Amino acid sequence: MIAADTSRSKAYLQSLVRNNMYPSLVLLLDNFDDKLLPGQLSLRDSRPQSPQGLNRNSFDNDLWSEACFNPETPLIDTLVSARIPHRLLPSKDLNDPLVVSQISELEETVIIFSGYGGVLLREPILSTGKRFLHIHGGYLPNYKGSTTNYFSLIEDGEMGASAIFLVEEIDSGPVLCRMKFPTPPDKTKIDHIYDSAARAKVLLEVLNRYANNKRWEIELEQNIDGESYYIIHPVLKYIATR
Amino acid sequence: MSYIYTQENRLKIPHRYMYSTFEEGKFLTSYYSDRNSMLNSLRRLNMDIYEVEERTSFQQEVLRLAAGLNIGSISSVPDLACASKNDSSYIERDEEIDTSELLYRLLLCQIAKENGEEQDVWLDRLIQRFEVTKKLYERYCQKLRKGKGACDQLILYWLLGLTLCSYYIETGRVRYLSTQLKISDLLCSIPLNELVAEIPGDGLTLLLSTEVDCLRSLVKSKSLPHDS
Repeated sequence: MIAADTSRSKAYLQSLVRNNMYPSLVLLLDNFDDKLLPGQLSLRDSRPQSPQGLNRNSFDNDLWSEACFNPETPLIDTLVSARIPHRLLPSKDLNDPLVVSQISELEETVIIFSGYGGVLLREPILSTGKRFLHIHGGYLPNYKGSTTNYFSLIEDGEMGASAIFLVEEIDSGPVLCRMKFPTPPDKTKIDHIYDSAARAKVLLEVLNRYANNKRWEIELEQNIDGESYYIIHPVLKYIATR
Repeated sequence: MSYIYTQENRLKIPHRYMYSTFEEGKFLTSYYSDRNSMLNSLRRLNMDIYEVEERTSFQQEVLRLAAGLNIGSISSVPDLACASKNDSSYIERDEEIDTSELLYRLLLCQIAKENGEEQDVWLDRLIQRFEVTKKLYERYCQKLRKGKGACDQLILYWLLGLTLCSYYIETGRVRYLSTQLKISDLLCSIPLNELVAEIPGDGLTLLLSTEVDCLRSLVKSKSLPHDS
């Protein structure tokens, strides 16, 4: 697994551990800068004063079961307590040759991808022979691009998440699994809780399918058409979250 | 609460809208206040304020305004029918096109309901260019990948805003409204005297008043209070 220090990565790791799934190795993308990167709730040195996670039993709908993760728990804490091997990558730029080199040398052939938001994988890293399993925050192929769940909340009253193997074209790889989710209980927490929870749920599902079937099953081979969405305007985001 | 998205000249200092913070309180009120402030300024310049009650009124006003525009020769704009989603070879050619002429043709075709899917290809490319660069250039090669010439022709932003507004009214697809709101933010961040020097004042009021009406309708459809 490649994990940036983001809410999404925390959701993934805590969900995996909770469901007794353990990555063989986690490569960490750390952010030593003094400003937050997309997907981060807080900088690495911050510590929670008290647990902020939601009670798992508070969800009427099982689809939101993974929303109980704690976004304030540092990634490293989860990794250490679960004894998951991990190391820091030399750069947070995934397309850095040093990073590409380390990834090329891995024995694993499939890598769960959880990088910083807005980063695209380019040819060098995509040519390492590894497959990068990414969970897109939107129901494909209908909702490609950015902040799609806000658009789908306004237009359809629901959210989505889809598991794909990354290809060079954005959000266009074959779809392994996709799910729709009802309007979350608290729409003000979509960015760091419910979007991450939806993706974690789909990640668990696709990994369970692989474990049961011993192969990666493709739900939608031709992930074409659909529309591309760009960062939603704040006024519309406001409407989506009321 | 102030509406920050128009407080700096967005042509000079683009706003990326990246991971905008969760807005609380009277954010929608601040947006309405911002747009009404511009509309009131235009009113003081004796520009008509439109109450667009019917979709056809918007289209009629656009046609009236478009007829008064001095947009070169649209014969140089490639036939939109040649660009389809299944054949991108035409749009991939390297010849330059004039952006104002392309937008003008898109707008007229959309109102006339001509060339449906082909229009989408061109419009999607223009949306992509604006969303990525937050700029519109006076010319593009037909690949619509690299802009050329000036990027401060305000009429281009207005034309794209009108086109997106028209598309949203026709299709209800929120993604058009999202980009159009960003364009309006840009226009409303420009000093008024510079705006009306390039854009018909009643054209600006048409765009902004229609946008506000669209937002109010959307808010109403979600059963949200108007002053939330």
